[in-house]
Amino acid sequence: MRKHLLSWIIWSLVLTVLITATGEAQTKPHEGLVYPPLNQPQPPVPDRFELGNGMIVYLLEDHELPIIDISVRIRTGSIYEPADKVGLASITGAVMRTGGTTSKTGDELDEILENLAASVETGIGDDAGSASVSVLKEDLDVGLSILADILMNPAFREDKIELEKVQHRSGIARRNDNPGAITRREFSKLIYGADSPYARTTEYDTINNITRDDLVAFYQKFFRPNNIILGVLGDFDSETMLAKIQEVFKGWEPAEINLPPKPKIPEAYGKRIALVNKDDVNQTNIRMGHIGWLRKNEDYPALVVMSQILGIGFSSRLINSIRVEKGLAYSVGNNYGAGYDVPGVFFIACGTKSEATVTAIEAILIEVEKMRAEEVTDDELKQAIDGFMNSSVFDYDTKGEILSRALRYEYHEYPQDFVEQLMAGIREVSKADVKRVAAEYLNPDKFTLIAVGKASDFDKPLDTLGDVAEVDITIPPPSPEPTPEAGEADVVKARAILADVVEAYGGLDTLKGVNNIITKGKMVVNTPGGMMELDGEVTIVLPNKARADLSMPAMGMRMSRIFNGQSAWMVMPQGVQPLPPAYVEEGKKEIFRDNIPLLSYVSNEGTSAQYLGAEDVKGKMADVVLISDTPGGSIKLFIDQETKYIIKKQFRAFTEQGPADREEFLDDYRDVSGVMVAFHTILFDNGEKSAEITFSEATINAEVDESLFEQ
Amino acid sequence: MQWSRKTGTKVPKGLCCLVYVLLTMCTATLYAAGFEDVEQKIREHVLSNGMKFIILERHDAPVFSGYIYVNVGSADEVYGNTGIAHVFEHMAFKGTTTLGTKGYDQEKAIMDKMDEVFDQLRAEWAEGNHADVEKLGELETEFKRLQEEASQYSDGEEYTKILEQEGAVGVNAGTSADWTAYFYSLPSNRIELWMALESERFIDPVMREFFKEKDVIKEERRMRTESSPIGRLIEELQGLAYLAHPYGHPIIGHMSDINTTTRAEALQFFKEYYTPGNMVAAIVGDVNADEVIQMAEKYFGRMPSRPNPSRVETAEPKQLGERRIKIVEQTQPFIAIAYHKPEVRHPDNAVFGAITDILASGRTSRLYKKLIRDEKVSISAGAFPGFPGDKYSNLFLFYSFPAQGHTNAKNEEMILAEIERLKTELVSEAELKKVKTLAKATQIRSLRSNSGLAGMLCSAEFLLGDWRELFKSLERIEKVTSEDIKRVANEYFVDANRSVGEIVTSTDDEAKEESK
Repeated sequence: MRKHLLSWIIWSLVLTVLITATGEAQTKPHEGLVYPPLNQPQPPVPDRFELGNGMIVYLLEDHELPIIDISVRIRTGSIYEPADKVGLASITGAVMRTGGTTSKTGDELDEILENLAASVETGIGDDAGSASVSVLKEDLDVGLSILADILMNPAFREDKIELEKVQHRSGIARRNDNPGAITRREFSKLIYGADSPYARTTEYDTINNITRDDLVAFYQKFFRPNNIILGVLGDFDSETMLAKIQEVFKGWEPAEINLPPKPKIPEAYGKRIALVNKDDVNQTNIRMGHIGWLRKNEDYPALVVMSQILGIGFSSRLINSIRVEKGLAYSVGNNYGAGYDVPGVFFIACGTKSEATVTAIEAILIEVEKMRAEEVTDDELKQAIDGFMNSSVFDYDTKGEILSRALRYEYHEYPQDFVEQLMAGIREVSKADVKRVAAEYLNPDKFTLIAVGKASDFDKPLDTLGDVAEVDITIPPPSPEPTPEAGEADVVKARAILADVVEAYGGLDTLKGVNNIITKGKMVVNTPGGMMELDGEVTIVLPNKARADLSMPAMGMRMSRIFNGQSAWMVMPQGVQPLPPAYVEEGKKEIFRDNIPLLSYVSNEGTSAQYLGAEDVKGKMADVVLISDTPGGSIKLFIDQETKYIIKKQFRAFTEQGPADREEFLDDYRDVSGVMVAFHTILFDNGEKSAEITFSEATINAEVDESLFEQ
Repeated sequence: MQWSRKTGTKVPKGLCCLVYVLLTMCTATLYAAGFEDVEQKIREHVLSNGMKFIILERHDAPVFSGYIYVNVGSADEVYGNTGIAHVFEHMAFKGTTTLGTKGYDQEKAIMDKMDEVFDQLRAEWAEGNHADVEKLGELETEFKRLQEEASQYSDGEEYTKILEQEGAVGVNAGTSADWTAYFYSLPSNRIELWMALESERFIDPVMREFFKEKDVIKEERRMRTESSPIGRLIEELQGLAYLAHPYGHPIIGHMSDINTTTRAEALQFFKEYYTPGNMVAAIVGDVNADEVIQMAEKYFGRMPSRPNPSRVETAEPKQLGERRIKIVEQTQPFIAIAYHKPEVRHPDNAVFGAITDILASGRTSRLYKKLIRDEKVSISAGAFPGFPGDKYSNLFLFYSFPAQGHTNAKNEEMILAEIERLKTELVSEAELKKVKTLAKATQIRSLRSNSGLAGMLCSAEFLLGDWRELFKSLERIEKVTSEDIKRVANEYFVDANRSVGEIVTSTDDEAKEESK
């Protein structure tokens, strides 16, 4: 307490000196205040127990409100999941709860808990698993037994695995919608390497690869009592609580856990500048930094003070330079750069208008350099250290904070008095220490820097700062589904059906003789913006060229979309715009999925065709044949048993909203130069109608001007 | 020390002010808290100038939270000067004639000169394309020079620096459509510091570094609204739903209004709305109520009594037909559906609270079960009962983020079907009971945080007319019947009362063209 008083006296002396120096005699409102000693009781210490099965339990009573909260940490994490199944840990963590237990479905648990306004949740993050319970005191037994049931007997029901996959796939589709999220993700990939367990991202493929068996195996590997730390806070009696915990986890046996070593953090790094060009924003998200340090590093207290002075809070240099003095940012600052078990990442983040991007970066770098080159002032040091000392009471102001710190230190095997040690260390930090750690640990020459923004509006080109690599954030579409095992009889039957189909369409020779097909007609597209009617002419030149000339009569507008086998582009009244690589890929597939090339292809020996059975399609019986390896991806054909026409196709298409399960319904077949062509097609994406196409005319092997496909 | 307590990028001023609130805020904040003994322990004191103090002693830890709530928000702004409530909130951190300056007389002289030059600049800007380019250039140069000169005399963050050094945590403020609030926590022996600093900034504010702070606010607007598709949509939807009432303009203000706002306007706004009778303070924590009252008299008693400001008189006219806005973005789809509903003090307010929970609280809620769990057409769907504010007639908002490959249309259809169910079927007793249980538990949990409680007491004082109303909200929820829900749904959730906002994905360039 005397320390607080003392620091206050010094502070007011400093102020007095300052005021005298500037010749101002007016009193500031807080001057002369004398604070009474702080009545700080000894903070409570949670009791630690180790159960017979190896579970560590922390108990902390808090009788103020009739509430009990349980918090569990499990030694696991997504860093331990296989690279081709990124998302496994997260899905396991979610479905443990939503998928219910062997005796109750997740939906039943929802009802029980929400009728009590209680919650039990689970989750798995990067380097830890967690579970939590929040109940009114009288509902403790319900909450505790559900927690134990989930931890011991999760059922991982399929419907909830699928639900979680839908969430993940949607998250992938949406991951470029928020510039802040792009910045964090791409920065992380640059720092750790895109394949590092600390940075890799879920993809459609890694999600699709995950099976229920994977979840069960992942669960079994880590969820054992001797790998768990459980803390309870609230209105209970410790002795009774301990007995209840022992009771609910009775019979759960410990097992040897082989925790793999933590993945390596790259040690070598060099200067890198990356750009994500986004033309729908007027503010650039900037992030720069490099691998940081460990909390147990002996220099950590000095690093904390240094980080604080550089860019944490409104007393910091970055706020004062970038925000207050220059008005360049609303949000600017850095973090403490530390990790518990592996070094953290030190970074500086800033958002500034496009037109100030390079100016802001340069101004930030100047502050970093100053930090390394010069000692901080006495005032700055005192400001920072006083702030830590005076606010340290908030480290103990809630029992929840005290308990969660105890669990965190136990989990990472840090001493329980780590925060006290840190405070003692911070108190001793000198100006020389701050300068030394800034020079030693901050390395702006080797910063990785990323800017996410509209490059054409930048004040100066980003490469003023050095070589720039543009990052492609296009979302990779999923790979085709793997082929199911085919029996020989199914293959034979499929071949026979396809032979009939080829005949029905005009015979193989006629089909192979088709060099091009030009169709004219009307297309009604159900865009997210509403129904849109287009008139169009589509020219396909086999094997790999297509051109669509579309006009919107309602808008009096024309545009063309062209794909020439190598690249794809659009021609609009306002100019030509190239389409990204994903469209080129999809363009190739789209052409191939047309009946004519498709049927020529399936007639080849060695293509994999497989009979899957018969199905009703809009009142007609259809044979279903799967062709899994076409250049257009895996396609299911539904063939009218009577006419042998393809009346439905089913495949995975790539759309602007990400991959979609597409169904095409074809009818109104007419003879065009000896080939049967469906004049009417309805498309459904993920079960929702997306387009309807009606041809008014079709021509085969007309004269086609090759210049139509020149850019 | 906890990492979360002092984050790298400080929790920004004005955090609470904007649209994201609608996606993250707990839906039950208004029927929170409610223990008789808590109510009994609360002391109230009104200063002779009209400012009220609400004090709750809690001695568990040697800390307290202080909260000042001013009954003014963006709804009090007039067209042409939108964003001024939020601008003033930022300026309230910029100090006084003694705090934040290295020589006030010199500083003031330069600031006055800057105002003159700024007025000339504004006049020239108003000429638009006909502006005298040469004169503009000269004025801008002169303005920059004065800014540099002024900066020698100012230390604009001194106020916050003192707080940070003295151990304050969570120093922040927020502006909403209805209110402006200033709050932080301190070690409990520093209650007098809170009194001294907080009173001073509302007695003697100086709008220093005004134009640089406006640049900061413009960055805030770029971040929250202009560079965010959802931010852009919400601003459109707000404007669409309101023809007359100021709830129709964005809390942060239009960019051109922020650009042209002057120091004189900010000061005038302060004088009109920051009157003691239009402010309430709450102190919750390890304090002695008698001492707090004494200090309040000493420090806040200095504020001169002033007449209370006039209130918004414009009433939103009845909507005559559905309104719809679609913005085309490069992002995935999003849909929000809004219906006009009455203000928070209307007797039906508790019914809307119950509807919110039935539709959108937890995994057993109707929207979750239908749209997310069973049909899987959405990854997040919800309802929000008071957008953009509570004080005046406002909007009940439904929203959904369609799951990958699913459309707004499908989500809209399903949300409307759930609304139709409310209108045609009575909610079961079990469902209603669950809502009431949740309200009780939420109240108990809300008592945990000093600062949360302080905020709720203040907001009840003005939004509900008396902080004691906070403790009656449970009764109101308790009285809601399934007939009430059916009646309210039929009365308000009608087609002509609806505004719909959608983000549609630019599937290709025709769509982009269409939006031009």
